[in-house]
Formats: sequence, C-alpha cells, structure tokens
Amino acid sequence: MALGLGAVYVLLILFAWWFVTRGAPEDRIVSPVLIPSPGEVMESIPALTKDSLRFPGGIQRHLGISLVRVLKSTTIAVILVVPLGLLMGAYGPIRAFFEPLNIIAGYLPLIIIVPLSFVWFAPLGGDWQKVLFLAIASFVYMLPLIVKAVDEVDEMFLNTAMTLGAKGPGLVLKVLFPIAAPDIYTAIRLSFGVAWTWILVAEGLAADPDTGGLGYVFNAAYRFDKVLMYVPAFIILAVGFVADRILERIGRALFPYRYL
Amino acid sequence: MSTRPNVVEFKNVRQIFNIGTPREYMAVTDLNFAVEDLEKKGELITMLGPSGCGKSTILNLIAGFRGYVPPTQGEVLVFGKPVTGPGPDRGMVFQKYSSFPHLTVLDNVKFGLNACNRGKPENRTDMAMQWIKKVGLGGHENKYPRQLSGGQQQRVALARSLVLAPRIILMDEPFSALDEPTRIEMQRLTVELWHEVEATVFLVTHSIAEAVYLADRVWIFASNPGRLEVEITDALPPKRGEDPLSAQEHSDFKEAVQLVTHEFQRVNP
Repeated sequence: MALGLGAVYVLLILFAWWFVTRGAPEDRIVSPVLIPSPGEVMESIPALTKDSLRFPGGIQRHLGISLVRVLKSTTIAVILVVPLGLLMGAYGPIRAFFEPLNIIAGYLPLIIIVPLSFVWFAPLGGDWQKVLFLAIASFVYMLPLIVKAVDEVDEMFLNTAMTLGAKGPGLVLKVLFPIAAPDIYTAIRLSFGVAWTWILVAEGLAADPDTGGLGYVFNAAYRFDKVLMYVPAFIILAVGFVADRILERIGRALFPYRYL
Repeated sequence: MSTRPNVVEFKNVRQIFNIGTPREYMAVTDLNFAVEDLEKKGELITMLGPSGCGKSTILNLIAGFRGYVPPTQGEVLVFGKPVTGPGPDRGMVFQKYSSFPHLTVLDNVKFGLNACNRGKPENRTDMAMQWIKKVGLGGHENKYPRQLSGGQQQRVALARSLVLAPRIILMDEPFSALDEPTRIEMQRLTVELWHEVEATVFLVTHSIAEAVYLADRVWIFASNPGRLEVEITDALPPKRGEDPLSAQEHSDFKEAVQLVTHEFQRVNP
C-alpha cells in the first residue's frame, strides 16, 4: 500500500515534468534552459555511455569507480569507528577523552574538510584523497550513532550478565556489542547512503577524467552541457536507494531475531 | 550450633543516592539483619512495602551492582565477606524481561555456564536442557526471546540463574508484569524449584497473598527513609505443597494474610 502510493507520487512527478516541458522549445511552460524535457534527457544517454575524452569508459565505468570508492571508504570508517564507538559507549573515561570528536562531528561543516583532506592526503594520490575524505565523512556521521546504540543497551542486561559470571572484556564482547549490533549496523547502512551523496563533492573537486567517478561526471556535465547532468543525478539517486534496500535485506539476514 | 557464616548479613546499612545534589535522598537506613545458613535448607524471604521503601535497593546491595558497592554506610556481607560486585553465587531475576535478545533460550541458559566455565563444554547443552525442561520450556529451546510470552521469558530468567546453582537468588517483583493465571503458575513453579535448589531467596513483591504463599519469612518495610519494621515467621501457614489457589482457601492462610495486611498498615499509616 505504502509502496503503491509512493509509485503514484513518482509517476505524478514524471507526468508533471513531461507536462511542463512538452512541445517545441519556444512553446514550453518551462524553458529548456531551466529544465530539459524527458525526451532530451533520454537522448543525452549515448553521449554519456560512449567512451569519450570527457568521460573515458563511459558513465558505467564511472559508476563502478564511485561504488568501489564508497565501499572502500565505508570499510575503512567502519574498521575504525565501530571499536572506538563501542569503547566510548562502554567506558566513561574513553568517552570523555574522545568526546571532542563528537563535537567536531556536530558542528564542523564537512565541506571544509574536502579541500583540507586533499592537501593532507595529496602524497597518497588522487584516489586515496577521495576515499579518505569519504571515510572521514562516514566516520563523523557514524560515531555518535554508534555511541548512542551502545548507550541504549539496558543496564539490566549488563547487571544480569555479571550475576551470571561475565566480566571485563567479556561483557563488552558478549553482551554490549551483540545487543547493540543491529543498531550499529543501521548506522553503517545510513552512513553508506550519506557517503554516497558526498561523492558529488569529493569527486567534483580536483577531478581528472580518468579517475573521475559519478561526482566528476555530474560536475563536468554542469560545466559542459547541462542536459547531461540529469542522468548521473538519477543514477546517484537510484543506486543510493537500491543499495539501501539491499543493505536492509542483509540486516534482516544478519539479525533475524529482531524481526521475529 | 553451626559456626558457618551467615548467608547474608546487613550491619547498620544506609544507602543514600545523589549525595551532594538537590536530588539527594536516603533509600534505606538502619538495616540490621542476618539470614543464617541452615543445613540443607535455604529460606525464602518475601519483602513487602510501599513503593520507595528500598526493597529493590536491598536486592541491589546484595547483588553488588554499580552504585551500590560499597553501601553509603555500614556493611553488606555475603557468607561473611563484604560484597565487592555481582557474581554467579547470587542469581537475579528482574521484573523486566532480561533474556538476551540475540540468543536462543538454550544459549541464554548456557550463557552463565560458558561465562563461569562450568562443566565440560560438551556437557553444557545437556545441563542447560535439564533446567529448560524443569521450568517447562522443553521444545522452546531454539526460540528467541521475542518469540516468547512474558511468563516464558521469566522461566528463561529462572533457568538461566538456577543452572549455576546459586546459593542466593534475588527476585525483584519477578511476576508483577504477568497476568494472574501465569503469575499463579510461576508462584507454584518457584516453590517447586526452590525445594530442589535449597537456595536462600529474597523476593520483592507487592502482593500480600504472594508474599504469604511463598515465604518462610515475610519482611515488612516502611518508607521515607526505607527501613525494615516487622518480620513475620511463626504466624505463616505451613507449606502443604499445594498450588496457590487452593492454599489460599485454608483459614490459617487467610489469618496470615490478615495479620500481614494489618502489620503493613500499622507501619505504613
């Protein structure tokens, strides 16, 4: 039912788009300078998919580059942030020590980090610059969520575990972590989506056509021919949505007891 | 006369929370009692009192949870030694359902065996299964807590605690959240299992009938600050091995309930 209504909504938007951009360019309700028609966007696809100097390998290759980048950056961020978030949630002094990280996450505009990270990571080369920026973005997004997930584990479970003989690291690994795990996973899933939107910025700056990515394609289209912007934008949207659905399914498989 | 140390002993115990803040309050004060270690027999002590009289505080002090070690004043001794933290010698059953959500019934009951390295690893499943059957959960061992009713979850909590053979069992309103038929069944089960383990049980309850049915001793508390005012032992009806409903039909049971009610009202006017 909800999905059905959502589909109706999407169809309405597409209809409205077609409606305001139909007819000859000079007769349209909305000028083609502002919004191209659906037909014009469809016609732009070959220019994007064919191998060209501007888009080497075509947009499909750039989609792959972006996906690999976000997978790499998310993996790096998860490896660092899950243990840290777990320790911060479990141990007061560790949390107090790292608390400024959460303040940075809350108040520092990440956009500032983009050029800075390019300076810091320049010696590592273009791809790592982008991957590590995306990793920073994922990290600061996930940290407070993971600390909160650990926080929200009822103290009763810890007390119970201690009356059953668990102590020390066993409490963290056998009780805190598994009970918080579904929420930690949700944080990872959401952060994947956030990092996926950040490719527009990460790949848009200091980009070269060879190692571009979808963010590069979008930004290059903006400078070169604006009608080409719509397909990469749509792909970013669609891939983000599908990836989120897939990650949600994986979550249900990983934590079946939560969905009984 | 045995020279064994008391199972639990409180000496002048006082517990104050939020010391030095506007929310400072005294949960319990002047607590002095000793529960002797009887040969081959644990006692079942039920604790009655109005909300905020510190009944749960006493359980938490015996358990040694964070914030209760050491008490603000006085000494809490278990088998003659000051409590330094929670341990498997003191089992706990909470009012809230505390089964680990990510573990099956079987793994919940095995949790303590693994944590304490009790028995050979290959025997732990059998040890756990014995208790799962005793609490009436046979056939449910592969279910997760979310698939169980409230009564079944409390059975898991009982089995999980009893499999470690604790000498002391702390039960904080364990049946309050259950519907009446389930509650009566759990009372019957508690008595049955308790005869088997012979542990000393401290059970907090709001139900006078429950307190009288289960207890060797009924403790009645007053509040503000919480203190132990009355202990009733001799007036309790003998245990006839009956289920709670028929036990309540006897005249001595009714008299005991009246007496406890009267005392409760006397110390909490």
